Amino acid sequence: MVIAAQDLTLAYGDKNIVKKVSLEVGPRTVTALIGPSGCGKSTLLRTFNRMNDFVPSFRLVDGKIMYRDLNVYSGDVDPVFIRRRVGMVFQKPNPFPSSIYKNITWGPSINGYTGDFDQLVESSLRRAALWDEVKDKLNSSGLALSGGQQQRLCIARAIAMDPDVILMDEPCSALDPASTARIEDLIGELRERYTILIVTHNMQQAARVSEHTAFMFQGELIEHAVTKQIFNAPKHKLTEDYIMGRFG
Amino acid sequence: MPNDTAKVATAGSSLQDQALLKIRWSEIAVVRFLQVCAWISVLTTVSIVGILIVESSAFFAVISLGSFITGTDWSPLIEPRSFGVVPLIMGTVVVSVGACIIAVPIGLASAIYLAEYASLRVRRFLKPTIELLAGIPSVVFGYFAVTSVTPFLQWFLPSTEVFNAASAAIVLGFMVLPMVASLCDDAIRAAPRSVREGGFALAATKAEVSVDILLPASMSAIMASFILAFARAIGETMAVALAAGSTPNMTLNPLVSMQTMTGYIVQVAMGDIPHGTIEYQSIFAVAATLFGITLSLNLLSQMIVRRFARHWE
Repeated sequence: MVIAAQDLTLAYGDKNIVKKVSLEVGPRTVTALIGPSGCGKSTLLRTFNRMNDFVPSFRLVDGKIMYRDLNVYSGDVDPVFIRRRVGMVFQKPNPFPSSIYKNITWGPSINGYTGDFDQLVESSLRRAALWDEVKDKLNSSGLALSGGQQQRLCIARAIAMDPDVILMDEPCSALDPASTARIEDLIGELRERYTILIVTHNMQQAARVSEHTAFMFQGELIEHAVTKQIFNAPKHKLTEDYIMGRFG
Repeated sequence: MPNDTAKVATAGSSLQDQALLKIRWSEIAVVRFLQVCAWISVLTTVSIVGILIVESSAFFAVISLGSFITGTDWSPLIEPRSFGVVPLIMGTVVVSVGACIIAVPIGLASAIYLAEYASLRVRRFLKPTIELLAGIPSVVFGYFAVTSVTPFLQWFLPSTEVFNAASAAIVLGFMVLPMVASLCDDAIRAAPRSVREGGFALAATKAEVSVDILLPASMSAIMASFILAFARAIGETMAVALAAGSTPNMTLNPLVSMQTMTGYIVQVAMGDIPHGTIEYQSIFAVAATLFGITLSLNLLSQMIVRRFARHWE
């Protein structure tokens, strides 16, 4: 197990968004979190690196988030340390308004990276399948790239931190089909090194990229199994209805 | 229902009669009124500029523009008269730069605190309170400078004169501070949440996100706010006239009395100088200089914002 939720209940104010969810994610796998809008999948995702700390009304009501043997929400755990090991890619590409080069090096440099930055930039961009497109303009702004390139830059930025886990919050929802296909291929390559948890609205995408799929509905985890099984022989009626497109 | 509307529409006259274009006089009157109101500001500016040009050209017919701009002796009221504006500009610059030395760091720091650290509750209290500072009448600041700031300065710098540029600069700094804080706060907050989250997700602390990402990204608006604050300080009159005194002084020492451009205009405009004399016309020349400087600064700040603004997305 690399990351896990144990009997987790999360709330915004008084409203429980995630209810008694238990989920384990093993090393070097891609797990997809699917479910209709508002089912709590993004909220759950954002607890694994404590990004919900910035939402004032967020509360962890009950249960635990584990990263390996660390209790992520324990008072003596530094959230900055967790975020060093658990990276994140967001729904909308959000490069910093600075050069491509600096987008990659900033995270490692503030976290004490002492190696060769040029090498780091090249290897991160190569692994994010962006190197060939940007190698001649590393000093131009990250914001000048296309949407799909920006998202790969954000993935490269996350990879540059050499994380253990990468969380992806609907990383393709703002992209066109061609860019989406490239990111999906990339996820296939990244699974060799990283544990990936991806929230997606798109069931075909979950079927294409993931080995495990977890289906959430109204804050509860309905079913979690090998992706093939979820899509071919779901155990639960709700899962089947959602996958067949009867609601959502 | 369709039957009812058809009935109303055809009652009395033909469709052509009903559709006949009407001239709505009340509508036209309202538009004209709104138009006049909108143009009043333009008219005012144009007439002020016009008067400045006419009166100062009468001045420059007697005193050459070159000797006015480069002259280092300003004694327009006492013989032998001399109209070198440099000491007034010097006084203005010393006071305004001093004000910015106070307002810029404190204002920027307040803005970072307001935008990134303060809780919603603290922010709701703090922001209007800072802006309240801008609502205090200028003359109160001037009085405060003479009765509190100057004695305080004299307490540890005994050479400080009763009227001095330093105390004017200090109160002026606090007068323009709300403007710096408010504009910088707006600029920092304009950065979308997604960019902050991107920083935090890379294991950055709040300070690292603020200093490394948000400040550089809002730098153009921050620079523009500094320039506007400087322009505002240059044009400020009452507090400066009270605190800095009315002795034109060619010096950089802020502990002595200095006269600013605005201070001189107040002194002459309120005195009993007869209209049409060269002394009277000199205030228009000084005012035109002042107007030129503040106008250029305003244009400069607009240019910076337009040219270097980051377009999020």
